Amino acid sequence: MNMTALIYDLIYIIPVTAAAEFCYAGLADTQSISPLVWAAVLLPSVYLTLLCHLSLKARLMLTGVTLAGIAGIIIVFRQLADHISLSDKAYLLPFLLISVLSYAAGILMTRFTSARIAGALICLLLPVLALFSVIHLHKAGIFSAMFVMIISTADRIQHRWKKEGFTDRKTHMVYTAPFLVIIIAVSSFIRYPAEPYDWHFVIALRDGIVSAADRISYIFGTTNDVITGFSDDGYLLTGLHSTGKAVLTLTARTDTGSPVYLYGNVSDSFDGHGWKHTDDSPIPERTFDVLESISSVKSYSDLLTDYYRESDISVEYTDLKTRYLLAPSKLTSDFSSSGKASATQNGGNYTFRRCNPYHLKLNESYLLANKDNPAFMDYMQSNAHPDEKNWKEALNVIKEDNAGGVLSYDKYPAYKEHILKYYTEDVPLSPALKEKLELLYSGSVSKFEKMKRLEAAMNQMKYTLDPAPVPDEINSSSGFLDYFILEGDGGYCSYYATAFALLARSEGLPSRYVQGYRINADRKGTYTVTSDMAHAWPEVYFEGKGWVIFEPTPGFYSESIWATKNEASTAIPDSIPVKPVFDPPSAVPVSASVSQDMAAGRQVSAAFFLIPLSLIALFFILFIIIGRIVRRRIISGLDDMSKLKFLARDSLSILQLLRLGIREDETLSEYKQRLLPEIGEAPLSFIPGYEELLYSEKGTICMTPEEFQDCRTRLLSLLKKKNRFRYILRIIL
Amino acid sequence: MRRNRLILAALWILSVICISFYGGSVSYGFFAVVTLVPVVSLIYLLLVLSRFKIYQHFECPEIVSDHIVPFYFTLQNEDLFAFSGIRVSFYSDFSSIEGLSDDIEYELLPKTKIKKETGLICRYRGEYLVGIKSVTLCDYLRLFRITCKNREPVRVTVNPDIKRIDNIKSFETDAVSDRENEANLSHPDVTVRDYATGDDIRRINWKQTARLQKLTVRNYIGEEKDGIGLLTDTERISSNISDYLPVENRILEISLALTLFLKDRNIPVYAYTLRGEGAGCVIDSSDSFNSFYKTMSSVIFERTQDRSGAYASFMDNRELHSKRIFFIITSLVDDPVREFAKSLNTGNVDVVIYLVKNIPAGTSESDSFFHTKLLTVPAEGNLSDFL
Repeated sequence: MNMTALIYDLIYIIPVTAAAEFCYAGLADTQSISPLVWAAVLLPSVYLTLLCHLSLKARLMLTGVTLAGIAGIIIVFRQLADHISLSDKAYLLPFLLISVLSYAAGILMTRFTSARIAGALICLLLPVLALFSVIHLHKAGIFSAMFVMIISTADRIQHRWKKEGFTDRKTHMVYTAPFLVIIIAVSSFIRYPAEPYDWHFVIALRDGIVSAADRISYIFGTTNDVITGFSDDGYLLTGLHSTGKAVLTLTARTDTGSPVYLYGNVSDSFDGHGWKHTDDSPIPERTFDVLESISSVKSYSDLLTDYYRESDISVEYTDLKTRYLLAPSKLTSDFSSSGKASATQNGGNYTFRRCNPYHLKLNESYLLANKDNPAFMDYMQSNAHPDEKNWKEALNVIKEDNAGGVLSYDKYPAYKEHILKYYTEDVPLSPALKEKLELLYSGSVSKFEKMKRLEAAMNQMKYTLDPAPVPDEINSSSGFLDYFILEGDGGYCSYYATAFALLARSEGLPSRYVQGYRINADRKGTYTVTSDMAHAWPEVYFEGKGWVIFEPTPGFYSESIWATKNEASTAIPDSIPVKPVFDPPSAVPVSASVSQDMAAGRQVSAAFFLIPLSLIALFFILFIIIGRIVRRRIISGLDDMSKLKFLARDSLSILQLLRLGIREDETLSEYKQRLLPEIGEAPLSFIPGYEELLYSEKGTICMTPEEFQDCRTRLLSLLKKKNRFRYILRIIL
Repeated sequence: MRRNRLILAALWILSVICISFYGGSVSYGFFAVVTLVPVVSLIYLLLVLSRFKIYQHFECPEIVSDHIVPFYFTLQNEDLFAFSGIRVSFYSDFSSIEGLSDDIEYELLPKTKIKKETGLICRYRGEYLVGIKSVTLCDYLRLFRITCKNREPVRVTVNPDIKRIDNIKSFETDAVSDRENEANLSHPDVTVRDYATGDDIRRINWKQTARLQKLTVRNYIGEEKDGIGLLTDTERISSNISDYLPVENRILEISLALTLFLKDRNIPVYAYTLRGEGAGCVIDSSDSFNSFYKTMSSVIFERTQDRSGAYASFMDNRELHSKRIFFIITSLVDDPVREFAKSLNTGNVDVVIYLVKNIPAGTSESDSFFHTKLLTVPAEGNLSDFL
């Protein structure tokens, strides 16, 4: 058997068969088939290929063994017919047929160039059809088809390549096929996504280049565009141009019902044209704010959720390089020891230790205020304030272990003093402005109500991204307020936040200016935060209650309200049918007849192997016996010369088994000379006679068949001594 | 190869487009396969580069220019995978391999070898690299080619070839040899000496031999006085090997050819080189010619610091002025050479200058001044055509 030719044929036939089988499976929409079954349906084509390359005797033997095995299996199946239904396996029959047809196609491809090209083109078509979802092709089928294309291409290249040396095309393909198999094997083991590639790194690179170019052109004044976006620069600019560059991704895990305000930078000092952050105290102001709010509500009511409820979001920095941790106020997550995302509190800001890279993702929990519910107004107007007991409960709510006592209740007064020190300011108002405000505030019973009225009034003013620049002579809070409220023609969020914060300070309320992002993420879902969502808003501190956010910018106000428990309980409930509870079935005892069947099954499975094996063994024995009888008859019918040739060829085949076969370019004499040192003269004495027999014109030699037989016997003994296994095979076969 | 690369590049671009619009195994698998194909091909090439073996061997201990030397080379594959395309390039500036072209590509299956038996012809005398210059490997899909230089190149020393010429155009040999023959024919008491190995049998004086009972040869009267002088100018004209090698080879060929020609006609030659190797050796027999050949084979050409001084020392040598004819074989006819020729002419010595230059074969020039003949000989071409 020529192993090279066999492997060459298999290189084509196996992938062609696999591609055809999987293509049919896709077209027929066949239920999933186990890998073992796939291997079995490939078997016929492999078997036929093997059969094609064997000698006649080997073919007969293999066919006999196969038929004996099949006969045995049929006998067993007839016994198992009651228990195993063959009809539901009938879908495998087309696969077996395809296997046989694929063998034929594969053989044609190995023999004819045109068939090879046609086969490669068909294998090219299959993945294309699968790509456009015309057929469903399994991954193995796709790569089988690709392998056929590659191997055909390599074959064609080799065919056209003019070379010297060992240029047999089939041998070349056999010895280079492993490299092609590696390509397909590695490719097929990779897991591929179902979505097209998003080229995010290319897009990120492009956006990075574009934004860097924008910044450079802005710095060098080549453009007068002021682009919207977050920065810790608190100046009141003019002539803004909005940009929709995506900077963050926000995922709201709960329905919030109101926009999400992500705090970036908090500023405390205004000079008439811009805000500055001067509070660099290490007091954890944001945590104190949460504790104050929770403990205050707890001292007012048992139902914290009527006034504050927890919301969960995650924020992913996709294209924003900043040292600020962007998070809502009243954060209940702790970022002091979050590894790469560790942040520290610094004067109301949460900042990372260094400027964070892209793709940082943070999970944030925070308290949302029921700000627009009348109950919240009542609470804000009450005298509720934190006490030590509620403070401890508040610490439990935010799961803060208060290591070192930094967040203890006894630190609370110092915190309040700190707020008063940095966030209050004497803001004298002009008589005209004072008059306006007195009119606005008349009848209000609390400062919270005043602020609510102020917020509503500002919402009625004009919004513009291009307000007139603040005159240079304005260098105080009062001056700005007079200009903006009385003379100015509107502005954008920064202007309104500034005005509101200053007016709150004029009422003696500590307030601050916050820059960050405002996202309309009122429902659960994922939101892309763009640069033009950068926003500024004011926060006002109410002693004993904490910081409260306000939205004075026209067009940006949105209610934050939900029903309190009391309000909810008085509503008419929806009548929703209750699903019955599903009872799992109780275990059913196995019947006696089933037990007997199981015992019978164990006996049958033994017969499943024994019967076919016995038949195969029987076939082998018969084959050997018949083979020997036939051989003896053939030999006895030969004349002397033919007998001598037969014996000589037999002896040469024994030498082949001893791995001492004759080489292609060797004569018989040279062959004998080469083997003499290893074997000796006696077993090789037939060679000169054989040579004479082949080439002598006389046609006779001076050696007898008995001498040839003697040489053969010596060689068999040598084979027995050197390799018993081959000796036994030789005897049997 | 370029076509294959272009096809692969186009397929890769197509695969990138596919994965940009379609997900799943087909598009990504196509991209993976098309990306892996060149990667695996490159790895294969690097593997072949590290594993293939090549041997070369020359059979001749001494190499003479323009003579075929048996040359063998073997390509061997000791691994379990095939070497798809191996091309062997040879040094071709100064040597050539018979019957083998640089365009032949070989394939080697596992555990096989290819042995080629051929001949090497070195065109010039000198020391240079011959044999296998580099090996170019190509992968099974003809995408990439890697060329690696021979890690162990062979440097050989080639001896000059001895060319036999039938005639010298530049002077009459009879005029020199006749006078010498006349001295012998009419004078019975001719001077003889004992026969030395290699002497021409035509010079045997049979009469004297019979009388003295030993072989004797005629000793020409006046031959020591009237010999031929030959100066080989060993000045190197260029630092570029492609320029100086053919010229130096030709110079030596002319020296040897002239000497052999004259020796065969029993005309003794007094040979000199510019630096004095074998200074003033006389070539009048086969032994002396062999010795002269060995000297010329190992002569070194180099730039002379003081060329005028070297020629001046020749001008002072009275011996040279007693020659009938003086040959100068040189690659440079400058003032020292002209002065030397002039001084010889003044002493009634005819001078023939062979000027070897890198001019196209087939062209030759001649000139003369005073009693000096100047013949320009190309470095390539058949020597007989010019001498």
